Amino acid sequence: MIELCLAMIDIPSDKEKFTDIYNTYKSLIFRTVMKVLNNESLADEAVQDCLLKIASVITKFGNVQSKKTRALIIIIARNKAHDKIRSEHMDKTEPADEKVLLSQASLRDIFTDVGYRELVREITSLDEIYCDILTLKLIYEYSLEEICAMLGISENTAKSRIYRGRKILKERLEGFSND
Amino acid sequence: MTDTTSEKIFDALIAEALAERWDNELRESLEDRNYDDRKFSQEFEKNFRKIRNSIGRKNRIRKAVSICAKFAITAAAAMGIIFGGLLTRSDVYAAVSRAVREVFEKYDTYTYEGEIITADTFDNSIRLGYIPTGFYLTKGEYYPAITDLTYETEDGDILFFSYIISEGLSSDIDNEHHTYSNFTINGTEYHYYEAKSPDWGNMLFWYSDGYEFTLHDLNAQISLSELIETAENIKY
Repeated sequence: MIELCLAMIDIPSDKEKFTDIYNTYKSLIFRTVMKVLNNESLADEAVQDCLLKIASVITKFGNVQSKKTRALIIIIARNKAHDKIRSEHMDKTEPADEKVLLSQASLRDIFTDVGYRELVREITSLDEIYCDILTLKLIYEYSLEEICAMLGISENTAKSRIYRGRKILKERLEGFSND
Repeated sequence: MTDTTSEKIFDALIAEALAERWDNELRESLEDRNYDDRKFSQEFEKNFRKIRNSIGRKNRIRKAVSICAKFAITAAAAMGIIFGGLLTRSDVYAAVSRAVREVFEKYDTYTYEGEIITADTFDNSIRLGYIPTGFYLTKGEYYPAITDLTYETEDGDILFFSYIISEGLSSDIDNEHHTYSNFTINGTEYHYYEAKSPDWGNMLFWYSDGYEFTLHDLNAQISLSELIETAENIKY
């Protein structure tokens, strides 16, 4: 019992970290959600949703000033803005779950520098909803469970977005190699 | 090359390309100064403080629930009826009533020894007998080892009253943004953390009968004397 209960620790530094994140990034969060919502009232609500989410996963954040923290803040803010749109019944679509395999032909193309530059170009134009989840998965190597907690989505939705994002890239790159 | 290997290489290339995209986006986000001088409403700032102060509290609740669940399963499986017998023995129940405070750079840690309350004997009906003027109960959260009651005024000031099983508990309290004092009234030692700025709430907590009690005045609006009066009038 004692060993278990010793884990029951509030960490004051987490509150401090949260305050730092708020002071450092509140304008960035507002800008990010405004780009999606274009409505100050909805943006205010989305910022609060975003802060709640950041608070609930505060242990995932390291150095407040790091690139990773900045990227995570943008990802969470964008996701909350999209949630807000969905909750306002402006968009209820969710991509279907699909398994994607990359063909050998497109892989060979990507190995070339020209192919890689094309991949960068396609990723630049890839919908943020896919870009963000692929970032969490492939760059920061979060588990599906962690991604679901961070974005407030189900495992099926997370899997679906990852597969869909990869599929879009694959199709675009195959289109490029056929041209 | 197998499909799995192809997929891994493709993912590595995507990650590389994503990193490039992020470099650009982060650079642009640093240059964008729109809304930098935007003032959020007082209500918004109050909500921010509420969210910030909920961080540790929610963590405690989650842990408490998890601990109680594990403890209940372990106790039931390993000790069965014997455990119930032990709880009735006077040496196990012997009250020592002790709170140990350890001071660290940014926080103080409290551990307790005293009566043993378990999830089975936890009393979730303890309430405030005196409530500061203007506050009324707006929310109650009840868990196997913790009860968390929220009182609010119409102006949005918030007072949390919570109590938790103290056995094995380790509580960390911020000392960087608070001034510490302690005093004893009618045999109960109270620990008071007064906020150094209005951004941090005042906290009064104490040990009694196997529980750690906490009054957390989120907006630092309640005087110490009123907090003490509230603390002294807990109803079992």
